[in-house]
Amino acid sequence: MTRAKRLTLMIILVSMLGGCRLHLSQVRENNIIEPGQYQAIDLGRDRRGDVMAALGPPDHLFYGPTELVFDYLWKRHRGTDTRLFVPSEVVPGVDPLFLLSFPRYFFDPSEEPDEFRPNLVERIAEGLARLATFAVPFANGQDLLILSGHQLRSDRLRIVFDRESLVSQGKSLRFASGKYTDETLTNRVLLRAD
Amino acid sequence: MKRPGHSALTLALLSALVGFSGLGCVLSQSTNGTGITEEQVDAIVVGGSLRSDVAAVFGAPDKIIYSNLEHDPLFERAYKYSRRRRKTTFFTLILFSGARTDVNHDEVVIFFDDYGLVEEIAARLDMDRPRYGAPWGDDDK
Repeated sequence: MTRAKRLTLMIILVSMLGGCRLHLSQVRENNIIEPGQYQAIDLGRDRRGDVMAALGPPDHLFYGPTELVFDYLWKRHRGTDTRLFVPSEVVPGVDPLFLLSFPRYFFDPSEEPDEFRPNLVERIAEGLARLATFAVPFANGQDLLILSGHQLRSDRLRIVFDRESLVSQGKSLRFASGKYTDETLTNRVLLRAD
Repeated sequence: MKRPGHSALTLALLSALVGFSGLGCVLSQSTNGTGITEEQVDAIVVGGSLRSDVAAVFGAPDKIIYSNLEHDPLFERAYKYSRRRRKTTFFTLILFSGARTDVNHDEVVIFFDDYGLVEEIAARLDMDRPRYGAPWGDDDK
């Protein structure tokens, strides 16, 4: 290969590193809980077992001072963005924006106290080591979306039980028709009495 | 005069060029957590199995939910077992790329009464739901 050809190939390769492509992404976690499922819950009447029979085990649960809280979560994201030409997804945990931020390792205006801040030599060494080994911090899918400017949408249903394990409160926060809507579960037993 | 080794360099550079700009597809899957089967869930008897029986069937819990402050805060009120599977489809086609990530969980929550007997058990075995697919379309329903 002549020197000119080699130079041309190198220029093409290097220029591609700065090129962008259109990226479509979709993330889905857990099944959607439809309003009809939680609207069937009776406040003051249904118990912990009834809720789990209707909705399954909660994703998170914890005891407060006098109450038990169930959280059901389901996450959805769909969007487009531009990314570096190099398909970084092939290397898990490597985000193109992170690579773009590589100079930060040399000139990081961090607010760390001086005694914990690496000096310039250490910073250069770390930066070169990271660049050489691609040893970037591991990031999960959600972190990568946030780094790319996208927040993974997380809809939530919270059910609160009183000390007798009866449903005392419930609220859903979900994304519908382009906006977040919250819905508080009503006491249908009291409504019927009215 | 052509020197040996240049053709290999050309091939490597061209391969990199095609690899970066051409089309490609990656399927990846990861699974972590405690394996849960329907047989294990069926082996737990509400009102009959003890906390130790649950541990014998499922093993050490992934999470222990302790009782509230009103009662004994060190009382193990519930055990939670979970397993997570993620499937990712990624493709690239010159100026376009796409990725779809599906995540689902197998989860079992077991509540115990004051005597350590199983009070309630709830299970969701969804780990076979994630699948590979295109990043467009809405097939939630």
